[in-house]
Amino acid sequence: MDEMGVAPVAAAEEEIQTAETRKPGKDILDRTWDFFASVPVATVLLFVIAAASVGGSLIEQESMLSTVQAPGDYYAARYGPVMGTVLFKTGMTHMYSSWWYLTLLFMLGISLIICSLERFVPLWKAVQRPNPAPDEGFVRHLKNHFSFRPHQADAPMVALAEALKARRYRVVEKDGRLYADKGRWGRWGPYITHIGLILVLVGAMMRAIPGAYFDQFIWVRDGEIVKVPNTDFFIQSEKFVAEFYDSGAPKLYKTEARILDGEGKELLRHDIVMNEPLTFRWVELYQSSFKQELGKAIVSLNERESGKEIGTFELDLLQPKPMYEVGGYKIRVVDYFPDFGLDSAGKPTSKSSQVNNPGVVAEITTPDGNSFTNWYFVMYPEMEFDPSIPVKFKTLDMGVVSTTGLTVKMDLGVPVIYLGLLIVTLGTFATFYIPHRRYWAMVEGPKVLVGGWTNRNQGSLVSEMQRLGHALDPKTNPLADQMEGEER
Amino acid sequence: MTGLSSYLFFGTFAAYVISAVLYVARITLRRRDEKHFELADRLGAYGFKVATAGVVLHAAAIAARWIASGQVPMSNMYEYMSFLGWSVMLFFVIISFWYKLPALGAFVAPVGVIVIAYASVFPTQVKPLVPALQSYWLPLHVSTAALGEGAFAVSFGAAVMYLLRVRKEHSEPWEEKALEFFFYVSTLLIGFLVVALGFKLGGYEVALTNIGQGNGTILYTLPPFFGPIGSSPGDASFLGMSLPFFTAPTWMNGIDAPKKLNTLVWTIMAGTLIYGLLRVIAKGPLRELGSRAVAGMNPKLLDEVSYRGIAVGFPIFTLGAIVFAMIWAQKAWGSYWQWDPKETWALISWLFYSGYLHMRIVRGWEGRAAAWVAALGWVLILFTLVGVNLLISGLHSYAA
Ligand code: HEM
Repeated sequence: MDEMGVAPVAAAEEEIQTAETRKPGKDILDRTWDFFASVPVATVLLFVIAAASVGGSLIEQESMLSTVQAPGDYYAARYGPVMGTVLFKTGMTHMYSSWWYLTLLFMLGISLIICSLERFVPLWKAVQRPNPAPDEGFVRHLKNHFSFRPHQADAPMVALAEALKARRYRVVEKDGRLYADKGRWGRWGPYITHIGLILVLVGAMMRAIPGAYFDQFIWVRDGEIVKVPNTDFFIQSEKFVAEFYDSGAPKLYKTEARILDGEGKELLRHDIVMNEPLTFRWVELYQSSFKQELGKAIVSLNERESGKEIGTFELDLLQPKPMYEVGGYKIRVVDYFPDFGLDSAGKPTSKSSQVNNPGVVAEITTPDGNSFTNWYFVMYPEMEFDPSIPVKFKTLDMGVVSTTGLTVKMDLGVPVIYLGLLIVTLGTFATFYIPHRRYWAMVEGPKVLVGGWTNRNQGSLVSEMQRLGHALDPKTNPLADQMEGEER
Repeated sequence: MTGLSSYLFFGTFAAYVISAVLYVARITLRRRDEKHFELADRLGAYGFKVATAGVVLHAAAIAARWIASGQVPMSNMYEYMSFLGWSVMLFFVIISFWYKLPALGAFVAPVGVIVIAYASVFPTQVKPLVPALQSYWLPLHVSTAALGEGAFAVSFGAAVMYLLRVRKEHSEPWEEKALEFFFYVSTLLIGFLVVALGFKLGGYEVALTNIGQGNGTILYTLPPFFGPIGSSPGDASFLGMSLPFFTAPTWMNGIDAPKKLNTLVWTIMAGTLIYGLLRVIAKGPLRELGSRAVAGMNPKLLDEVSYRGIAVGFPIFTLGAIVFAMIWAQKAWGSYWQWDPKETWALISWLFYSGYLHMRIVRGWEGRAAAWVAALGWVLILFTLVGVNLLISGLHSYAA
C-alpha cells in the first residue's frame, strides 16, 4: 500500500488485496479474512441482498396472510402444489427471517467489521500522518500541477502558505517543502458510515436478547385499569376519543391515559394518539385500534297490566351487578349472556364476550315476597319467555362504551439503532460533501511546483488550482476555461 | 390561494416543457452544421433560464398550496410527484452550475416533464389528513427522499448519455437491445401520460358493473376495452364503438384489476404508436438517434456527472428514505422495520446504489457496468414510487 494514500486510494488497494489473496500458503483463516475484506465481494453481496429482497415483496409473506388455512395448505392452493410447497419449504414465504436471508445479512455485517479493521491503520497513517516531504518524483507524478515564480526568492513558500491558510488548509512546512490539506473527515466518512451500519445491525439483533424485546396487545375499556403486560405498572384509559371530519374520514383517535403503580398511585398522565406513543420506563404504548360496544342500559320496571312505571335503574351490560333494587322490588341477575344465542343442543349460550345481544335471566322479588323468573333481552324487550308474570322490563336508553386497543412494545435495540442511523447520516454526508484535498510544493529552479490531489470532485480541485496559480502568478497562469462537455 | 397555486403549477409545467423543447432543439441544431452552433448555444442558454424560472415558479406553487391548505403539501401522490419533479429540475439546475454540459438538459428536462405530468394524473384536491398520517415525520421523510431521488434522476440522464456515447465502440448485443428497450419504456410512459391526461381533460368517465370483486361498479377514466366481469358490450361507447369488447379474465381478482388491465392495454397501444412514429422520424432505431445526439461529447465528463448525481443524492436519500423512514415507522407502527413492500423497495434501491458506489472503487467495474447500474437505479426508484402502488400494496395507506 502506498503510505501516502495517494493513488486514487481504494482501486490501487484492491489490486494489492486480490494479488495477495491468490498467494499460496495462506491458511483458511487468512483467506476468509481476505474474502470478507474485499470490496468486490462486498459489492456482490450488496447486489445479491437487493435481489433477494425483491422476492419477499412479490411472494405473499406469511406475516401478511389473513386466512384460516394452515400456511402450507394456503401456499399449495395459491401457487400450485409443487411450487407452493417449494416456496414454503425454502423459506421464500417468510423470506426476511429465513436462514439464508439472515446468513446474507450476517455476512454483510462480518464484511463491514473486517473491512473497517483492515483499513483503519493504513488510513490513519495516510490521512493523519502525511509525509510533508516525499520523494520529488512523487510530486512530479501527481495528476494536477501548477507552478509560479515566487516574489521573495529567499522565502518562496510564504505567499502560497498564506493563500492556502486563507482557504482553511492545514499547512506544514519542512525542509523547504510545503504540505497542505483539508477535509480529512471526508476520508473517514466511509468508515463512519460502516460503523453506523454495524450499530444498526447490532441494534436489530438485540431483539434476540431475552428481556430486551416484547410485543403485546391490550384492550382497555373506558375507565378500566389494566396491567401492562411484562411490566409492574398499570394503565387506565380515562376516555377514548374518536373524531371525524365532515366527509366521514377519521380525524383523531386518542386515548386519555394514566399510568398507575401497583398501589394505584398515578405515575404519569398522558394522551396517546397515533404517531405519538406514550413512553414509560422503555415501554411504549401505541394507539392501534379501538372498538365501541354497548356498555349500559337505562331500564324501567313496569306493572304489566297498568303499564305504570315502578322505577328505573342503570344496568351495566359489561358486568351486571348481582342485585338491583327498584321501588321495593329486588332484581337478582341469575345469569347473563352478553351475546345471546343457542348452542347445537338448543341451550342458551353467549356466542362471544362482546355485548352484541345481551340477555339477562332475572329473578324478581316483589315487596311482598313473591318471586318470578324471566328473561330480559335489552335490545328486544318484547321477547319474553314468560309473559304471565305481573311485571315487565322496558329499555329506555342504551349507551356505548369505548375500548381502546393499544400495542405495548419494548425494544431496547431502538436507541442503538437511532445512534447507528445518526452515525450513518453523518458518515455519508462527510463522505460525499467533504472532499479531502492535499497539496505538495517544492522549489524547482526559479519556480515553485505545486502538485494537487483530491479523492473526489477532480473538477473543483482543478479550478481551485487555477485560481490559486492565477492569484500567485497571473503571467504563468492565465485563467483557462472549464472542461468542456462537447467538442466545438 | 389554492387557485393561485394551480396557476403557478400550470406555469411551471409550461416552463419545463419549453425548457425541454429548447434543449432538444439545441442538440438537434448542433448536429446539423457548424454555422448553427451559435443559435444552438443561445437556445441552450434560454433553456437553462426557463428551467431555472420553472424551478422558482414551482417552489412558489408549493408554498402557495402549503399556505392555502395549512398542511405540508406532501400527503398524496399528486403533491408528492409534483415535489419529485421539482427536485429533479432543482438538481438539474445545480449540476448545470457545476459542469458545462448543456446537452444534459435534453435528457433530464424531459424526465422532469414526465414526472410532473404524472403528478397531474392524480386528483389534486386537498384532503384533510387521517390520523395515521398526522406526523411531521411524514413530510420530512418523503420530501427528503424525493430530493435524493431528484439527484439520482440527473445521474440517470447522464448515465444514459454515457451509454449512448460509448456504445459504438464497445457495446454487446444485449446492451443494444437493453438500450432500445429503455427508449421503448420511455415512450410507454409518454403514451400513458398522453392518454391519461387527454381523457382527464376531456372528462371521460364511465361506471361499469363489477361482480368480480364484491358487487358494485368500477369507475373507468379511459374507454374500457376490457370491462369487469358483469359488464357487457354497449355499457360504454367511444368513437361509435360499443365497449367493452372483452371482460377481464377471472383470475385477475385484485382490487380494480380490470381497470388496471385496461389502462395497461391503452398504454401499450399509445406507447407503441408513439415509438413507431419516432422511429419513422428517426429513420432507424431510437438508440441511433440518441447516439447521434451525444456524438462528440466527452465520455469522461458524462461519467463524472453521472457519478456526481449519485454522490450528491446518496446521503440525502439515505437520510430520507432510510433514516427518517425508520424513525417514522417506529413512531407510527411501533417498529422501525416492517418489510412493507414500499419500505422493502426503498431498501432495494438503496442497496443497489450502495452497490454502485462500491463498484466505482473496484478496478474494471467502473465505466459501462457502473453506468448501467446508475441508469437502472432510477428505474428501481420509479418502481418503488409507482409500480409498488399498482402491483403490490402494503401498509403505506398514503400511497393509495
Ligand atoms: C449497506 C452496506 C454498505 C453501505 C451503505 C456502504 C457505504 C459506503 C459508502 C457511502 C462509501 C463511500 C464510497 C465512495 O467513496 O464513493 C463506502 C466505501 C467503502 N466501503 Fe462501504 N458500505 C457498505 C458495505 C460495505 C462492506 C460490506 C464493505 C466490506 C468490504 C465495504 C467496504 C468499503 C470500502 C473499502 C470503501 C472505500 C473506503 C475508502 O474510500 O477509503 N462497504 N461504503
